[in-house]
Amino acid sequence: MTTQINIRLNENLLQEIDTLAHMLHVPRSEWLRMKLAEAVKEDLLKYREALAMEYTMGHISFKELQTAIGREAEDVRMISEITQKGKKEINRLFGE
Amino acid sequence: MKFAIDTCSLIALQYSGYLSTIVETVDIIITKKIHSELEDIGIFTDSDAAAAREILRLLHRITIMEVSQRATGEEELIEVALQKKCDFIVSDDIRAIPKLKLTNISTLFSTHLLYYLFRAGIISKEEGLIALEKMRNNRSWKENLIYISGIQLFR
Repeated sequence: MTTQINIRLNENLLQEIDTLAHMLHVPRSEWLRMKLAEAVKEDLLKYREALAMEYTMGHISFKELQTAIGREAEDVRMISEITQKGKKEINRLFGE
Repeated sequence: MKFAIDTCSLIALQYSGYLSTIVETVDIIITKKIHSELEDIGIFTDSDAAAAREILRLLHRITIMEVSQRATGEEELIEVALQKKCDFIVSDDIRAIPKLKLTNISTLFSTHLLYYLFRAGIISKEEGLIALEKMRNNRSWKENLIYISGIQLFR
């Protein structure tokens, strides 16, 4: 399934994109889709630790985490749950 | 308090700089297999090897138990924990967690031992967070999740 979005680009940037797309013999939209996908994958890999931290802090939902890092989100959830459970057990040792 | 602990958790705690404090504060129990693993790791020249050699120097404060040989290290750790009536099993091995959770003994991460020191008033919150940061070095991103999640212990 695809969704159409509209974005405004600087005229110079658009010319550069068209030059590259022309050189590579691919339509502009295809080149843009490919580059966007590459950038998203790269950033998800780069920021996966940060995403995990955002989840453990309750700033993003499990669904969002799962969308971003896939099956590894299950490990993040398990680690977060064990961390919280263990914290409670240690607190109990200290009379809480 | 008795903690049965695995190799990767020992190495992580050595990186934290507080393993020697931990072995003086609580009872740490390991298997003979873990002892052998530390000796095997210690042969090399990387940072894990240096950590393993430091841990071997602390063995006079650690109980080593020999149990009947099992298929995996975690099975032996469970056996030791049951025999010695340990309060907790400590493991940073994410793959081993499902098996460890099947026992009646609570499973903790190495980060919880830092939290224990914090609750016991031995280290401050800041020292705990710095120790977590040291544990993050040299680990894979998956292992780092334990230390990232560990930040929540001090919040």
